[in-house]
Amino acid sequence: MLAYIVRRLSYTLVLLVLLSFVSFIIINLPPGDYLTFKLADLQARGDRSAQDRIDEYRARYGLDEPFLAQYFDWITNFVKGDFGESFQYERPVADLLGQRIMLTAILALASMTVVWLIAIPVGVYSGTHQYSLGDQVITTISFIGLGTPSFVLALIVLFIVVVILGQDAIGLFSREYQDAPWNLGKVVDLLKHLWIPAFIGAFTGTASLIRIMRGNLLDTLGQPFVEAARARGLKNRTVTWKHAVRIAINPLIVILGTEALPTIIGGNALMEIVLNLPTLGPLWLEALKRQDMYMAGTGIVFFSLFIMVGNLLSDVALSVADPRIRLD
Amino acid sequence: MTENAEKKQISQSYWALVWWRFRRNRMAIIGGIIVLTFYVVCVFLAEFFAPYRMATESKFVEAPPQWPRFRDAEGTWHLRPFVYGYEEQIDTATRKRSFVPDPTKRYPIRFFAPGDSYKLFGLIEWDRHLFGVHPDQEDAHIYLLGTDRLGRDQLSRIIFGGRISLSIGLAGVALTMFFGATLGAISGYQGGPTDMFVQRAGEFMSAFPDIPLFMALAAIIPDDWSPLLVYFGLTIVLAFVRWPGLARQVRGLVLSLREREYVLAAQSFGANDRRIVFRHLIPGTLSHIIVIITLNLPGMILAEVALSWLGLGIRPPMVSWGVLLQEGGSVRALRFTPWLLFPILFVMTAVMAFNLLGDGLRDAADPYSGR
Amino acid sequence: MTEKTLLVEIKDLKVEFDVRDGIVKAVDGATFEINRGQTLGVIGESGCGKSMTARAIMNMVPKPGKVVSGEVLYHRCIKSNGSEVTDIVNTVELDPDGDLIRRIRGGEIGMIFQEPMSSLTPVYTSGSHINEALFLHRLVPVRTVGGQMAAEIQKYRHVTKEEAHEIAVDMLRRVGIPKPEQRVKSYPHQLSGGQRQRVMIAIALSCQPVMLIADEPTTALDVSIEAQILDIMRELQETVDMAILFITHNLGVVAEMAEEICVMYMGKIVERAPVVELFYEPQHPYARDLLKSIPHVGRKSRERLASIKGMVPDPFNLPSGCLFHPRCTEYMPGKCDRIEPGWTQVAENHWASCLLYEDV
Repeated sequence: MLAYIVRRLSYTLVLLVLLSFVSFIIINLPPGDYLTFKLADLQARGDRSAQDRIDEYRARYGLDEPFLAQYFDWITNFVKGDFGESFQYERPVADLLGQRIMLTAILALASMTVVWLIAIPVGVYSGTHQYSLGDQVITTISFIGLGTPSFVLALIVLFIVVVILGQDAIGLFSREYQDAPWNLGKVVDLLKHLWIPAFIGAFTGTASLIRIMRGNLLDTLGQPFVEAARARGLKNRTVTWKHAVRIAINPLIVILGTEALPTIIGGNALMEIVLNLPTLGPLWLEALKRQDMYMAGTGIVFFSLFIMVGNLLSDVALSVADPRIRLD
Repeated sequence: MTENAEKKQISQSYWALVWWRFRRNRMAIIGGIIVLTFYVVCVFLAEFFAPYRMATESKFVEAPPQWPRFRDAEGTWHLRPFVYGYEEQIDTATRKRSFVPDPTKRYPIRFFAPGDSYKLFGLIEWDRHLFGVHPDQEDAHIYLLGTDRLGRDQLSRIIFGGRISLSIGLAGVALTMFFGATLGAISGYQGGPTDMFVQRAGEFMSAFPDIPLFMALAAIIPDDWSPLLVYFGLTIVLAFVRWPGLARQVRGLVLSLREREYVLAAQSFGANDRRIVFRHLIPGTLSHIIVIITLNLPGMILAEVALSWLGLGIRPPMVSWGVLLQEGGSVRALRFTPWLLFPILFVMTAVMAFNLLGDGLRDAADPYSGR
Repeated sequence: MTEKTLLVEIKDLKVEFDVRDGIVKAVDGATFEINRGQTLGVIGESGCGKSMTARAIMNMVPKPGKVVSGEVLYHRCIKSNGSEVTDIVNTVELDPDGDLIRRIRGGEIGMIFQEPMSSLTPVYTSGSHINEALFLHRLVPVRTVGGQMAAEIQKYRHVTKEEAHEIAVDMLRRVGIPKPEQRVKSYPHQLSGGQRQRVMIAIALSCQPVMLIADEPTTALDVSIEAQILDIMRELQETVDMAILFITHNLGVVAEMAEEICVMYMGKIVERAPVVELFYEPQHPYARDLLKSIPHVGRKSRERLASIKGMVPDPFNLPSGCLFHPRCTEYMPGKCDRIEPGWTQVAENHWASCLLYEDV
C-alpha cells in the first residue's frame, strides 16, 4: 500500500510538471503578454513615457527571454515555494494566493462533505422506496439540481439574498474578520459563513450522486447475495446497509474522486467568481484575462493538484473498501 | 395457439422496441417536447417568435416586464390580452430614471402581428411575428420580459441568444463526437499501442481541471476576431476539452462489443477492420451514442453560458444566454433590474429537458436495465 | 423407519405476480408436507414455481409477487420450561420483517441458493458470514456452577466471539474445506464455486436448523463438484436430524438425494411418490414423459431422443381444464380440456393429479 502511494505521488508530480508546462503554453498563447495590456492601459491614461517603462518592465521580468527559459525559471523556483511575481499587483504570487488557496481547498472539502453526507442516505432512501412519493419528489429535485450548476445557483441565491433579503452579499467572513489574523474567532466566523457557499457548490454534485446511488442500490438489491442475507434472518435495515449499500457504494467512491471532485473544483471556481469570495477563483480569472502569467500558471497547478490528490485518495479509499481491488 | 398469442409473437425491430419503451416514460416525452420546442423557437424560427430584433434599442431603458393582462384598472374584462405602457418617473432623491406601468396606456396584443421585417430561414421575406402590438399606436411596445440598459427587448434577446447557445451546444457535441467517438472506437477496437496512446492522451487531458481549462483555452481566442469566428473558435475549444470523456465512453462501449459473437463472425468472413468498425460496431453502439450525445449536450450549453458570462466566450454584439447573464449578474443589476436574470430559467429548463430526454432514451435503449 | 412427524405443511398455496401484461400464477394451489428428518425432492422445469414455493415458506416472495391465498404451517418445536411445545405458525402471515420470521429464517429453516458465485457478500470473509449467522441465531446452554445442568431449567445465551470463531472453523472443516483456519479469513473471490457452496452449507448448518431448503444448489457447479456437494449434504444430514427440501430440475440428482419426490408443472403439484416408485412407475403423463426423456446409455443409437411435445404455455393464456392437456399423450378430448383434475391416491403414499385416475 505504501509503495503504491509513493509511486502514485511521484507519478502525480511528473504529471503536474507536464501540466504546468502545457498550462504555461496555453496561458501565453494569446498574442502579446501582460505588458501589452499595461501598455494599452498606460497609453489610454495619457502616459507618454509608457513605452520606455514597459521596456524596463520587460527586461526586469525577463519577458524578452525565450519561452523555455522563462518556464524553466519559474518551475525551478516553484518547488522552492516561490511562485513568481504577479505583474498586476507587483507582489509575490505566494503572498497573494496563499490564504486564498487554503480557503479554496477548505470550500471544496466542505462541498464534498455535504455531497457525501446528503447523497448517500437520500439515495439509499430513494432506492429502497422506489416509486414512492418520497422517491418521486427526490427524483424531481435531483433533476432540477442537475440543471442548476453552481454558478447558476449562486446567481439565484445572490438574487434572493440581495433583492429579497436586502443584504449586501455572501462572503466567507464578516467584515471584522476579513483581514484579521487567524485565531479561534476567525475560524468560528468562517464556519458560520462557510455553509451557504458549500451547499451551493454541493448542489449539483449531490443531485447527480443521489441518482447514481439510487441506481446502484437498485442494481445491487437484485443480486443473489442480498436475498441470501435476508434468508439468514437479518433485519431489512441490516440487509440494506450492511450488505447492499456496502457493495453499491464502491463505484461512488470512485466517482467521488474522479468526477465529483473535479466538478466541484471547477464549479466552485465559477461560484467564487459570482459571489466574489476571497478564494482562488476570482483572482485567477483576472490573472487569466490579463495574462498575469505566473499567477495564472500557479492557479492551474493548484487546481490540478487538488484534483490529483482527490483521485489518489479515492483510489486508496476504494482499495480499502473493496477487498477485490488490488493496487498495482 | 390463439390468434392473440400469434400477434404478440411478431418480432419487433430493435428501434420499434426502443420507441415503444420510450413512449411509456412520460417525463422523457416532456423533455423531448421541450427540447424540440426550444430548437424550433430559438434556432429555426427565432425571427418569427421574437417580437423585436436582437439589437433594436429603444428609449425605454431598464424597463420592467410588461405582464399581459385581461382585466384593466377599471375592472373590465377584455377578450384580447393587453399590456400597460410605461410612464417615466424620476426619483428626486437619487435622480434615477425608471419606468413604471401606466394604466392609461393600453396596448392590445395582436397575434401574427406585423413588425420588423426579416428573412425566414434566410430566404423568405416576411414581417409577421407571433405576437406584437399595433405599430400605429404611438410608442406602442411590448416588452414581456423587460428591457436592458440600452432599451433592448429581453425576450427577443433571449430567443436569439438561445439560437447561439443551443446551436453551439449541438455543434460542440457534434465535433466532440466526431473526434471522440472515432478515436474511442478505433482505440477500443484496435487495442494495443494505439489504444494506449489515445488513453494516455485522454488521461493527461482529464488531469486538467475542466472549467479552468475551458477558461484558459477560451482566453486564447483573440479579442479582435469577429463574433462569428469567436463562435467557431469556442466550438473548437468546447470539443477539445470534452473529447477525452466521450472517447472513454465510446471506447468502453466498443470494448464490451468487440468480443461479441457477431464481430467474431464478421471477422471470420474476412471483413477488414475498418469495415467492422464502421459497418458493425458503430451501428451497434448507435443507440448508446445517441444517449451519450443527449446527455453531453447540457454540459456544452452550460460551458458556453459560463464562458460567455465570464467574458471569455461569445462576445457582443452576438448574443447568447451567457452574454445576457453577464449583463444581468452584477449586484447593481440584481437590485434594479432583476428581470435580466430570466435567461437562467431558460438555461435550467433546457438543461433539465435534455437530462430527462437523455435519461429516458438511455432506459429505453438498454433492455436489461429493469428499472 | 422412525415415526413421521409433520414439520411443514403447505396447503393450497397460491403465489401471483402482478406484471404489466397481467397476472402470472407462479404457484397455483400447491399442497404437500415435509416431515422431520425427511428429504423431499421437488422437480420440474424452469418456471414451474418450485423456487417460489421455497421462498413462500420463508416469506421471502420478491415483489411484485404476493402470496394470495393458502397457508404454510410450520410446526415449531420450542423448548420452554424444560418441556417441548409445538407451536404451529403460518409463515406467510407473519410480518416479513418481524422478529418471529427472522428467527425462523436461518435459525430454524436454512436456505442455500443456486448461484454460489454470487450468494456471498463480496466484502466479507467466509468467517464473517458464519459469525453473522451465529451471533444472530446460535444459542449455547448456560453452564451452571459446578458443571451440573439442572434438568428442569435450561438457560441459553448467545455465543461469544471466541466460541463463534471455533464453531466457524469447525463447520468449514465439516463441509470439507481444507485448511479451515486459513479459509475462514478468505474472501469469496478467493474461493472456487464449489468452495463457496460449501461455505453456504456451513453457514446454514452452523445455526442447527431443523430444515434446509436447497434451491438448485448444484445447478451452477460442474459434475464432479456437484457429486462432492451432494455427498456432504447427505453426510451432514445423517449426523443431525434435519429435513431437506431439495429443489432441482435434474432428475439424476434428485434420485440420489430424495426419499420422496413432488413433481411440479405450471405452479401445481402433479404427482408425489417415494423416489423408487416415481422412477419405475410414474403415473402422471408429464412425469412419465420427463422420465422417458432421460437419455439412456446403451440404447440403440437410432432411437430418437424422447421429448415432451409442444411448449410450456403462455402464462397469460393458460389452457382450460388440465394445464398439461395440450402436450399430453393420454389426452382425453371432452374431459381433459374441460375439467381440472383433483388429487387422487393411486397407490400407497403415491398421489397424482390426473383425470386418468379420477372417476368423472
